[in-house]
Amino acid sequence: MVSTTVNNTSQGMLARIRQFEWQKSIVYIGFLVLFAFFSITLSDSGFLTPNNLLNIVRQTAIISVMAVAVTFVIAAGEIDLSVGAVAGLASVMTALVLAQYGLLAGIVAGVLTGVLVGGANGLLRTAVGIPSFLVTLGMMGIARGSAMWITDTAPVPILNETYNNIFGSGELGPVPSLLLWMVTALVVGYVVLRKTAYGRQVLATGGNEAAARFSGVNTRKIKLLVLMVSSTVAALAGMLYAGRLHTGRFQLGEGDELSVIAAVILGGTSLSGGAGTIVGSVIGALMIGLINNGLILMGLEVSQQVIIRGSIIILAVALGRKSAGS
Amino acid sequence: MMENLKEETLAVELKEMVKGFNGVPVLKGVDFQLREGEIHALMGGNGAGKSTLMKILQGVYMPDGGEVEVGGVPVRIRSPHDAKAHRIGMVFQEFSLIPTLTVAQNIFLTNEPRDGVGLLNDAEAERRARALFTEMGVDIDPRAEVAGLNTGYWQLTEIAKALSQNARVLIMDEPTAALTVSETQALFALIRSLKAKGISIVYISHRMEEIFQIADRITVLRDGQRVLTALTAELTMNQLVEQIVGHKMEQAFAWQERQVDRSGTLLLDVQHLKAGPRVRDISFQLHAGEILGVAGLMGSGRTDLVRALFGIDRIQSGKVSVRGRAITIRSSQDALNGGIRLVPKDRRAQGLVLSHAIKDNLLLPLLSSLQQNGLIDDRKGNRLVQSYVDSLQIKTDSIHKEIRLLSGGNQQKVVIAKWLASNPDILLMDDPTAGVDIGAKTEILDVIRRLADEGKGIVVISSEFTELLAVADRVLVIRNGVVKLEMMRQEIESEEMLEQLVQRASAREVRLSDEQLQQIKAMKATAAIVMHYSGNDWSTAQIDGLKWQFAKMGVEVTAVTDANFKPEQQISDIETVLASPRKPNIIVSIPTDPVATADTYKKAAAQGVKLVFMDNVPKGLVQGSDYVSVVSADNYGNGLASAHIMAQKLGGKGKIGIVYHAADFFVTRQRYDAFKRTIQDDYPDIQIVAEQGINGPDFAGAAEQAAAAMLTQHADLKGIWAVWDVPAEGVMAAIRSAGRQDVIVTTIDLGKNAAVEIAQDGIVKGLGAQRPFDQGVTEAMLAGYALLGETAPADVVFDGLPVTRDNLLAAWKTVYHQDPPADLQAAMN
Repeated sequence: MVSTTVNNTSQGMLARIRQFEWQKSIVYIGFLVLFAFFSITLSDSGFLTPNNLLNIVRQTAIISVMAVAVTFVIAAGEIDLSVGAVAGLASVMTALVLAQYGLLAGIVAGVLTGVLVGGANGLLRTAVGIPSFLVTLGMMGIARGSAMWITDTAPVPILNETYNNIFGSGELGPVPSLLLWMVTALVVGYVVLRKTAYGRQVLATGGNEAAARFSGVNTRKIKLLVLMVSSTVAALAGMLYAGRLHTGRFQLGEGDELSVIAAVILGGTSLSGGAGTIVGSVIGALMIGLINNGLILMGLEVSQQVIIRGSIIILAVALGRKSAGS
Repeated sequence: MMENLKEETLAVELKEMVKGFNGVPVLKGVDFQLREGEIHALMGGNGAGKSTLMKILQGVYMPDGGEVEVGGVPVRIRSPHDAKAHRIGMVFQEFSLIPTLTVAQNIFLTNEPRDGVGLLNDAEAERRARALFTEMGVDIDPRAEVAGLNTGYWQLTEIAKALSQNARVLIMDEPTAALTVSETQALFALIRSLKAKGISIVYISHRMEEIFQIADRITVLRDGQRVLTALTAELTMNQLVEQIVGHKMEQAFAWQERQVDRSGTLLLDVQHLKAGPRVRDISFQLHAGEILGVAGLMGSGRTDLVRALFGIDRIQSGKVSVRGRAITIRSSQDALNGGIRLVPKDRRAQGLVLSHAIKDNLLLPLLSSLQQNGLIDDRKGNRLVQSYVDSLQIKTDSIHKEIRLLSGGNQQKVVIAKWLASNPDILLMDDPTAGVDIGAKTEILDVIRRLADEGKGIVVISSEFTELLAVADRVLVIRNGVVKLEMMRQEIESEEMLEQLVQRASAREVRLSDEQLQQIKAMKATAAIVMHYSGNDWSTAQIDGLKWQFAKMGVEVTAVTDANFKPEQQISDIETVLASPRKPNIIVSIPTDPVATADTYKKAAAQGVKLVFMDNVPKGLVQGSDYVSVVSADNYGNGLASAHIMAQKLGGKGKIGIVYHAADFFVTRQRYDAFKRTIQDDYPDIQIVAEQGINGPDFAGAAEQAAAAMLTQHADLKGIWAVWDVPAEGVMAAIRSAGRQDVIVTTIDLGKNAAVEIAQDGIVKGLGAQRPFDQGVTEAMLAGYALLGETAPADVVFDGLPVTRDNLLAAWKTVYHQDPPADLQAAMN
């Protein structure tokens, strides 16, 4: 086969620099740049205090957890708009069952909520063939409405200390439990996507569904599974909200679907499927949290914050695109 | 009886296969038998039912009737997964890879190697993929993402994927469609070795030559029925074509000589085009009514050339003129305005909206001209579309039919028609007949001829030389991003000749076995080395390499001559050698002047002397019949390297001078072009303020004078480039005597003086090195090929080697196959 010509020292170095796909790393670069920017401009406002930094982590941990699962959904070429609503529904299911039947039953109820909603999403997608955008858009309403119905729109307090400590409020030494959940999700998600056959099949399904099928990948099963897992993890996120606020409430998680999708795309996962990065998604979530926190510390008006946040997201995604035409 | 039974062992038998879609029968009771370890070609026009038949075997379709037996056992294959379980593998025509995964990940998809805890082991997958590729004789990086690879590599990856699954039956659907000739031959060798292992292969292809090369048996389908199964040896090509199309064909691919008036309108004039990494320096002209064929390997820059001209890839430098007016092409819009249209390589991805109707596709570029008062004139549009459907014979029952339902050939005609409606001057076509059946191919070729007759200028790229030679009036051979050769069609005698011109082999592929060495030794052959010049280390090393290898081969070197760059001297050298009582069997030579010396070399060839050339071939000599091979250094690459080193050492800015070789000598010209263009294009802050040509015989002295003048004129000169190491010595002398030790020098060829200077971190900072010793060894081996009557690769290339102080000693070993001399080592300290 044809080989290339000159391939070391000066020319090779130049070529390597040219070929470095910095676009793929834009979320990390962006994160560092923003962090440095805030560290300098907000040094008097306490940005760098351990407390503030832990705040950022706490505020983004739940989005991060959901983003990990949604990364699989998007990498498989699907979408899940129902995660926020499922979180809300699971928070109230857990709270209600826990009050009646105790800790374990409450946890099971919350998780089961996610499994069932996700199963419904997945079956509607694969067996009936409705695009996931529509299935989960509909399911968002059904889940949110159900949560309102069973609670009569009232918050359901959770008085179980153990529950609250495990899910969101407690600390292990100096480490907030939310951080542990986030790191667990990150590690598990990373290993599953990069190192297991399931993860590889998810990427294959999103990259070229027909080819994946011809290679023996059961693409229906994959789609069913990513949607089920996504809802289940969303339910877990709802339980974390509940633990952090000591309350189940139907509004919890409202609007999270957009933050989650933004974090995933910002992180470098392709909206058209086939490529995904768990670390990127978590950094994406952290970056959104960082922006929120920094803009607030800067003393900006909310309207200004919202505009700047939107602009940063567009800018980051634009910089992360491969140059057009290729 | 037993014997007979054994012969008839069937790997797969399809009996009475029936399959229809929406009530339209596609297979009407087809029988197909695949013996164990046979290569069975399945042929037929588009719609004959080949793909459907094979998709049944692959589990993609379930048959409506009939039986499938694998190894004599009736089976039902319900899914690709079932097929795999029966060890039936497929190499798909439409690529079945995941673009976002790496090559290795694709090969082992659903079959991944695991580590101890059951997690995927990508490193192991990469290792196995590499081993597979080594076995296949191809060079693909298993870690590369598939989306970034050329489609030819996709095909090879697919084959590797099927092989990795231990298939007993391998279905290959047009496996060579995107492969080059040498890759095809490598694939065939691979197919034969699979056959030897007892693997059965169904080979689907439209390419007749390939079928006759590779297939044991041929089955032809037509209109859903089997019309023929026969041994290849019992068939002629004409019989086969008749069976496929159902009637006699005239010589479809014969070239019809056309009259082109080259004194008339010059439609397109491209000068020194450079774009991206693959188009390095391409110039050509295109006249009205002319069909210019572009031949080149995949990756040679052929596709990149038309992409650049159509504004898809950015043009870095060069001039493009249409009808004598220079135009700037920054986007496809610029190209369209200039009257240039592109029929792209991948019609599905780039040429058509597959889910839209013929009409919508065809009218897409014309919508604005069809508008009246802001509305589209539908009737006018329909009339226009119908007229193209009629004139290009697009086979369809309605212009409202979705494009994807048309056959490949008819799709391609729509792509062409789409552009014709806007009446362009210039049509660029990238592999317009790829993946279409033989009938549609001839029709497309006819369309191309007709368009040229109407006065359009057409550039056709094709990997199928039969087709290229059927239509082209002139052929441009592109290799490694530069125009290697331009020939009138009349000058090309055969497809094989064009193939040879296009090929280039890597030096690693040239090898002689011990047995072959013994055979050559027994011949007691003699050789002469006819140099252009022998006053530098490069020549010495080249001669050393030749002598070393000739000694191994038992070939006696009877003469070594030096023409000192004078063609008349070289001619008499050759004549002397030929006239000597010990006339050599072999001459290894580098022509000083490719035109002046040509006749003399031809005489030598006529006397049966095996000619092997270094770097350059005398004009008009034909590889195979007149000479064995040419072995080249990458002079362009080394020019590039010396430019980058210069720029790096200057920190990317400053004034420099150039000392070049004032002669039309291919080798030094390439170096000069590469150096100058790289500086101009890549380093805007470096100005070339002086250029001086030099001539022999005293190159060092001439260079010293040239450099001295430059230094006087330009007090702020920072660097001087010299075309090779001997002039560089002169330049160094000038710099020293002017007391301007801050001026740096880069050059080409690792001569000892230059090396010592580099070692001392002196004036010379770096250079691009050739590998003359290895080049000589390779030339001698190729002469050995010729003695044995083996086919030698036409063109073998050595990569360039950039050298700076950092890698000097290692580079010396690479170049000379000797430890660096003590004084050089001392100079390093």
